Amino acid sequence: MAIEPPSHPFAPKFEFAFTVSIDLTAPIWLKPTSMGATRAAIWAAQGTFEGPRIKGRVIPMSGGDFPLVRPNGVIDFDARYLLEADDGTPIYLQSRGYRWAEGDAMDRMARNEDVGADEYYMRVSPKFDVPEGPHDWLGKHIFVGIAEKIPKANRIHYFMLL
Amino acid sequence: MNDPQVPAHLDYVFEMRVEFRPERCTFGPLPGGGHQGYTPCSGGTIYGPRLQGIIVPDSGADFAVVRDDGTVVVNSHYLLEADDGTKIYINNRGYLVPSKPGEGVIVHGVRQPAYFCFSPTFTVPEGPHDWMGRTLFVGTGHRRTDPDHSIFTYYAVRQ
Repeated sequence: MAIEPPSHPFAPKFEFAFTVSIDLTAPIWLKPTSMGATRAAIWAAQGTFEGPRIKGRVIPMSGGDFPLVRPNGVIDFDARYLLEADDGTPIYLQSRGYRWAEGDAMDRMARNEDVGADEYYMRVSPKFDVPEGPHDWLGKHIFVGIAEKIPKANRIHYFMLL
Repeated sequence: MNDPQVPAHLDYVFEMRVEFRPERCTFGPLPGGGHQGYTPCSGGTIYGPRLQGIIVPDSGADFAVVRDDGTVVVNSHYLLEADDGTKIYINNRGYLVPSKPGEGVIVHGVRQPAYFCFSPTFTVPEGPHDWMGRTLFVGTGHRRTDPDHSIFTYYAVRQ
């Protein structure tokens, strides 16, 4: 899709915050659930994050993603896990968002095949619970995550809405 | 790794004028800290390139939590009705950080918060607006007075 200037005079601006790279466990599937859809459970096995203002690690097996898969194939994320900044600060991340695609890209991702980032839509919005201190900016800004689905892993680029 | 390989791009979708009732209040302190807010919405209008309609009158309110650091954690629930009759439930979540005395930008004569942004979710039936239920949105807010209302502007995060 062509890159155009923002289409509204007051369009907000983003600042790159950090990229999180996570290795994922194999999923457990529950289907169908009482929500009328398929739910999956996938844990964050390990990971790291890095950006201009903060870096650290994903606390291994501190949580994961518990998404609903709608009958039309749209995945509705519900992720919760812990980050730990290099200064030892623990940070709780809770994220929601969507992954879907036209054609067979979802099937190929489910088979852990490489799929180009332009073949699917994977966008998330996290919120952070963080102690007062050098990282408390995480707890009072909206973030958007532009995510890449990698076989058995995710790479999510977070941008802060200014 | 600091290079954002896939930048975020937005499309302006719609704007809504949200009108408030005078019963708005906050109460507390809460056992876990902070105060509970209640801001009922009397109605409003929706306009923009991809959605037009109304906020169904008296269909919802904002139940924000005012944290002890002064940040207002917005959590509003309204029912929208598009011009084609489609009902849409919006849960508008975000942050309002009040400006320090004398510091906020003044727009239309009203001093604006230091930060007023959202990440809403939409529950939409199958049909012409169902893309809103699988697309990530962000929003920005502006405060207005006479009468008490806000302007919320929403953007879709592009593929």
